[in-house]
Amino acid sequence: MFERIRGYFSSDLAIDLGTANTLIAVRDKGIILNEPSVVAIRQEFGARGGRSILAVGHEAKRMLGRTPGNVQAIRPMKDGVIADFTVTGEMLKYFIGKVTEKRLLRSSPRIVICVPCGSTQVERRAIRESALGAGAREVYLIEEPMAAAIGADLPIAEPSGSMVLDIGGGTSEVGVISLGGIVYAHSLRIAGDKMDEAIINYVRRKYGLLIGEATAEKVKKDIGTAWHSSEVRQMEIRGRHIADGVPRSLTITSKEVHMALSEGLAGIVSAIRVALEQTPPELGADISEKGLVVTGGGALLRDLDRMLMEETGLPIVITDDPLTCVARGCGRALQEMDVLGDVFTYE
Amino acid sequence: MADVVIGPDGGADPGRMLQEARTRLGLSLAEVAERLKLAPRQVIAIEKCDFDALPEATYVRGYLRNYAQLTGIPADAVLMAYSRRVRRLPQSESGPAPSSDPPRPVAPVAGMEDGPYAIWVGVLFAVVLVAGGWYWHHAHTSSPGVSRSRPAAGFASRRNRMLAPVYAPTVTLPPNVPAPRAALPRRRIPEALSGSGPVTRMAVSAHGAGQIPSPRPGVTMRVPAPQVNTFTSPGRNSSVTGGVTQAYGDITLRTGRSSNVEIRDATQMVLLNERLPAGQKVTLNGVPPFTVSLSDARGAHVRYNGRLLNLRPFRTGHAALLVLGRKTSRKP
Repeated sequence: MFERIRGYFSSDLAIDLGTANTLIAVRDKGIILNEPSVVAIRQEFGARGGRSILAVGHEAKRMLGRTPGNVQAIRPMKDGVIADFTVTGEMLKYFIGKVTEKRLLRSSPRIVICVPCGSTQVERRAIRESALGAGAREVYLIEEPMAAAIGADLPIAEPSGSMVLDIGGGTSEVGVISLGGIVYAHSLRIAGDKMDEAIINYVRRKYGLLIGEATAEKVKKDIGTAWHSSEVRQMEIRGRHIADGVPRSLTITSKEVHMALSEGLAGIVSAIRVALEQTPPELGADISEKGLVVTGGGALLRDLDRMLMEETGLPIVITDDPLTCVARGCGRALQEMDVLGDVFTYE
Repeated sequence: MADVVIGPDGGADPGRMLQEARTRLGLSLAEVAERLKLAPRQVIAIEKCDFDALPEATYVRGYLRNYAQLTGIPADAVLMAYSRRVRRLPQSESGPAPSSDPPRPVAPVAGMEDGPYAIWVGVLFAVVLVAGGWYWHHAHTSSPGVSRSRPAAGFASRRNRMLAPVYAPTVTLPPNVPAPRAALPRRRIPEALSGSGPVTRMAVSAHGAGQIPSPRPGVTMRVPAPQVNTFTSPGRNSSVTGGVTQAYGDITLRTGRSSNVEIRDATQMVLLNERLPAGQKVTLNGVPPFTVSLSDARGAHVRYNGRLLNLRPFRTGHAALLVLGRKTSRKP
């Protein structure tokens, strides 16, 4: 009873604490925050030298690669898990403070956070502690494939297999779900960041040009493709030439980007094949009939569905709003706990 | 832009849009099924808009999008037509394309409309707060006097009641002097003027309205004016009792504001327990140490043996409590 009354004065938050972006959905309001998981930290000098938060989110992302010596723009999440506990806690605190209303009778929120299915107990506990430190009343953890399936409106509670692939910033998750539980799940650390890294390495090897993460991400979004026969596009990029040490510009085509990305994409395809091999035949038949649902920012890569269709032989369905699918799923998992059952995970 | 095919129900027919695009491109059902990795019966179901024969809506939307991309017609138009058909939306309510829709808000939990519930819970909470505050206030303001919880003080009062008729007559006060009232809140007594007696607490006076007990045997009382009560000893400062000389002390008190005043002597006998109006002057003497308490010491002046005291160190809020004089017993 008391919890119910308290619930009226608090807001439930669903957080997709991603490597690239953090999304927060609030009960009855939907997704109200979508900011990069980047924090700019200023190193103070002098006798009382310490670290202070300079900027978080979009503002901090603009500083990536453009900071002076005493400022460091970092991503506190790496490969889907916390790389810097303190900074992650501060970032969460900032985001939660940004979305929660400051009222007299507003109590601490309940928070559900998604975690990679391959994360360890220590990593999950770190995320839980970080959310508690940021002011949460209760913290629930949900595995990303489950959250993605709920967010995509898949029939997770029915005795029918549903397969979901979530390509995020740090990890890609493949999961097979039936009867409200995860039958098979696998997490691989090949995702958006690795694709950016692959583009950086390709340009450096082939042209001897050093480009930053932001440029590589722009190349991936604008002309990147997963299918070798896609329409050819090109764009101009600028970087620092390794030999000359001076800035240079060059034009790169989508075919080259495809070559750079092919290795990582092959890893994702391989993970899907392994998942299909590990899935019980009945569920495999359901998946073959219905297809594979793809969510996450990686689903926006041009012609990814076409490539996956050819490589796996499955119908590929990309959800309507793949970027926010996991966050929406987290929110629904907490709201519709009575309907969906206990879909949370405990370390 | 694809031609909008109107279905039998008046809305755009996504199946016919796709079918006509496929026919224009010269693709067969089998070819489309092969390219989309669907079964031919699923492609037929799509073209016939038999969505019951297909999986859940998420999958159907994906199939339609893929089919539209394959045939080169805008996927948004097909998805819009599908949404209208499924939701039975009228043509005039066409909104933006589904793929460009903002993220759907998380659906509220059924039966949890916050508005009225929140108001009722707020009202209930306010009532509980007010009741709790009243109870707290009542419990603190009507807390029992020391006499109830302190048997020693109660004993002193009972002793006063017994002794008063024996030793001295009672004096009727002028009508502007109010009746005695309950004592001050209890607290620790700071010692003044090197008082060495034990910490004394006050008791409720049990005397009737308009009457005060006599201070001591041998002490005369007179009321010279309505505003001044003077209790003075008959011009001596000591008495000899059983070979022991006891020094007497003089207290002069003038109230600055209307205040409850209680003064006891060394034997805990109540010399004065009255509510005195502002500006009232009282003079009395007796055996020190004296315990003096005032419920409102603002503007009050206390002199002990002619020496004016600073009451500030002994004040707690408006009240003051102090012990005057040292126990003086010596051989003659």
